[in-house]
Amino acid sequence: MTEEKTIGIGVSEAPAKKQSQFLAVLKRLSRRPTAVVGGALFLVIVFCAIFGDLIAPYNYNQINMREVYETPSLRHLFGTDQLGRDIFSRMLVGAKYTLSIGIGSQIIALTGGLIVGSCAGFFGQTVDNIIMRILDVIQSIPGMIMNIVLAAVLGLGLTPCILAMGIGGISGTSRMVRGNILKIRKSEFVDAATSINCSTPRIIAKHVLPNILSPIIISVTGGIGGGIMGASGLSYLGLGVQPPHPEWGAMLSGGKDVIQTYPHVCLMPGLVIAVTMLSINLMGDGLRDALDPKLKK
Amino acid sequence: MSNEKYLEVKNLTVEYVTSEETVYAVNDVSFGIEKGKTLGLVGETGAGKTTIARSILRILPVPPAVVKGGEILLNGKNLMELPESEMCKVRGRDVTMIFQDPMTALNPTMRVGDQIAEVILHHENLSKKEGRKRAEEMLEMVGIPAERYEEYPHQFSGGMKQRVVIAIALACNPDLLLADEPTTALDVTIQAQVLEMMRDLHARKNMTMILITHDLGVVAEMCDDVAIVYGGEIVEMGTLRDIFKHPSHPYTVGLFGALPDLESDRHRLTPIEGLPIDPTLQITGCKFKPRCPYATEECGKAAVQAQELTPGHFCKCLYPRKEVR
Amino acid sequence: MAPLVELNHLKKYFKTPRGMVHAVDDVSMSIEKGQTMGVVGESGCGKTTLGRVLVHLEEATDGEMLFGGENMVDVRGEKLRAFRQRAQIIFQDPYSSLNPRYTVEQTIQEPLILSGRYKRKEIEQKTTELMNLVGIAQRLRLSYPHELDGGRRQRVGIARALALDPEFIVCDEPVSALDVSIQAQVLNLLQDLQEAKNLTYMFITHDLSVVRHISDHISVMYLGQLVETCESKELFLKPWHPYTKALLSAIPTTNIDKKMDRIILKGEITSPINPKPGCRFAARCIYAAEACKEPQQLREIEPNHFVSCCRVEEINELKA
Repeated sequence: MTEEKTIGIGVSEAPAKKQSQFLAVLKRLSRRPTAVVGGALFLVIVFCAIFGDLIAPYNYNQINMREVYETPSLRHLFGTDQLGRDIFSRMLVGAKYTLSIGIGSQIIALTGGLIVGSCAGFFGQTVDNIIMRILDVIQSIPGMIMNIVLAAVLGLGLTPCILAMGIGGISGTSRMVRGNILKIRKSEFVDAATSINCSTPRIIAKHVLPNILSPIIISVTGGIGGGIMGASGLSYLGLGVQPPHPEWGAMLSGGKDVIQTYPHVCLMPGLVIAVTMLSINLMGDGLRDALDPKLKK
Repeated sequence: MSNEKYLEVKNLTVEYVTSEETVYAVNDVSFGIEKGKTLGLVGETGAGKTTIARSILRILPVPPAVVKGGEILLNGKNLMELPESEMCKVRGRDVTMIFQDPMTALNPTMRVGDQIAEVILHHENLSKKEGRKRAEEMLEMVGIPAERYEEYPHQFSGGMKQRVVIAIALACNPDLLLADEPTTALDVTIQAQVLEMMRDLHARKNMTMILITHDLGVVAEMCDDVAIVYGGEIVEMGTLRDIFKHPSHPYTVGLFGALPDLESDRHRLTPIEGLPIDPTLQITGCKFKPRCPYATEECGKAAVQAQELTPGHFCKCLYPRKEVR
Repeated sequence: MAPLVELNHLKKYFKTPRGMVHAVDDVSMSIEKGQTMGVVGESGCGKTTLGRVLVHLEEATDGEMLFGGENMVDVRGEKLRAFRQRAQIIFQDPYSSLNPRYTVEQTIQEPLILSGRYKRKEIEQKTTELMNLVGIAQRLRLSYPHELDGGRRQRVGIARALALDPEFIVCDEPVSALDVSIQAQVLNLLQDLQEAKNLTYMFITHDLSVVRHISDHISVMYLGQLVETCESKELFLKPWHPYTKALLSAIPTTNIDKKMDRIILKGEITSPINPKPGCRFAARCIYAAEACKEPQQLREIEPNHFVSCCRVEEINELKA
């Protein structure tokens, strides 16, 4: 009780032990079973994306007209498609395309969104007005058309596809970042930072952004799924990853004509996409909780 | 003796139970009020004042709240045992409550007058027209011109919103009013207006009132009886004069000592050392012991029983102070 | 001795869609070194804006702000950085004034790091000193704000403000969010720090009993303007402005034997948007007359007792 009593006399207790921030977060993360499961799943998927070509039991593009639309069996784990190609092998090989589209597009969308949204939210007034009106114009164009235009300008293939999905996502992330910044900006601790000579970039980096981490993580994990689905749309239009490269979204949409007769052609890619999304979301939620000091136990 | 009390709370115990912890919010609280009197419940944040009031109206958030025991007798009728349908009739007609924040207590999309009329129509068999007339009267009564019936809450200032909230609470002439920090969100001059109005209405309608506040000044102006709440227990209870002239519990004495006042020229205040107790801990003995300058071993041994110092002046302390303020 | 802080006709207007808000309108006052100026008024009277202008969280619209004789109204860049090390602010809400993702230590160290005055080791040592000074146990060094109670959080805020040894601190309602018993602890701490470090305070509050306790001088504000300013004791003995009278009489007192002659004001504070010239209190004032429609001057009625009311002599039956 003496600690509150008088000034000048402090209780000299040893302060709690210090620990590196990164290790502490990792430790907290490891204590959440859902996050561990999500992380493990995601690692498996990443492993497949990297070594897919090596571990695939068949050549992803080997056409075998005697074995079209085979249902899943031990020989073909996920069955075969309309050209008799092994779906499991195609998925292993396609993982790198799909993951790079999902993650790559979100990195672009997030980087752009953070810069644009921070400027709009922090400088306010005229800057904010101009940026928001431009975003209004961009957002009034339907997302798919926007992507088609971008893909048409940038050309065909994987990189243009990532760019198209990423740039298309910037306006949404910008709005999300701006809205959250506006909320935090009014807090007194931001004023307090100003009053101790904190520069604007430092205020944004140290005081504002860490406090809007939760909505950012949610937006990113949700966005990865959106990116994968959007890319499949582009593939369907012939603007995405070019056949015969097996991209998951394209495989999913490719099977939709025979969904009533041979549902596994659709179902298998669909399931894998869903599991991937789940693992990313679990990991994201775990990360968000591990980074939040309020949930520290 | 209990016959003359209009409201009696006996051995009320309320806990908030979640999977992580149990908050012992109200511990074996008993008190009573005579008809037409005003009781002040005084205590700091988290002392359990609001939980007591909500228990009387049976509007505790369940879960996590669990009423572990106790009786609430309103005119001899145990509210704890009433079916919900009966309780609905009691709320608003016999007992009403004013909440702390006038800014959020009103529906922003509904005309102010209609919000008053709604309560009246709900409880009384009146036509819409009569309801409106009564609502207009209520507005006038709290000092708002009836012409403003058609306006929306955002067109009203904080003080006026609180008047509307009071008008809604009083619309059905309740016998018991529970006012939870009714003026805390208001400025002093506006607070003076609202308190004056409440005093006036209280006198005219012979209402019984429980005033919950942390402001001893407001208590001094409004109340007949005072109960001091600490750690979910009533540590001292008595008439206004008992408490303000002969504060006996060390906590009550401490509260007065910590308060800067307008008359004396003390250079330093005498704060109560330490922090309010953690309500998740179950403590044997006096809850104020860790902060009490007069505490001895004895205080921690068993639950301290209230002793009657003078008729009607109860104090839950083994060593009641005897100073006169 | 020259005052440490001197405000001359300080103004702060905000542009809103509905018109100009005169948040601080022509405020002049001076604060001696080592003293406390209490600023009281009701919500919306501009007292918080005044405090924020003083530490450059808002830019003044017009007027002079002398700090140690030097006008600080327009300082920028390096000079502003230097000024901010001399003038600090303690905020009202201990819940929102601390970054929820900073530990106690990080919050207190940030000004030390930013100042560039100290080496790593000195920063650690200075943090320990500051924590002892404001009475936070060292074991709370790595705690986050949500793990602390209101009183302790406010102590962290005070430590942050003190980190760079400022001369002048604006205390913006530092105790209004705290319970009575904790409030007294923090008030005592502020007083002790003032004595130990010869600090100058501007103490902004709506609580008149607190302001009387802690201030040497008091300024009463109403709708952006000063209506009365004098020594603390004198204000409570001889309130001359009708608004001050009403304000003082409205305070509920714990003395149950003393019945106050309460002046209940009619109406509420009017809007500070595009106010008319003339006394802003006139609409609620029982003494309002024709002359009150003229602009009012802050006049020295008695030595060091300034009142802004043209009828002050009449009302109080003073000799003109």
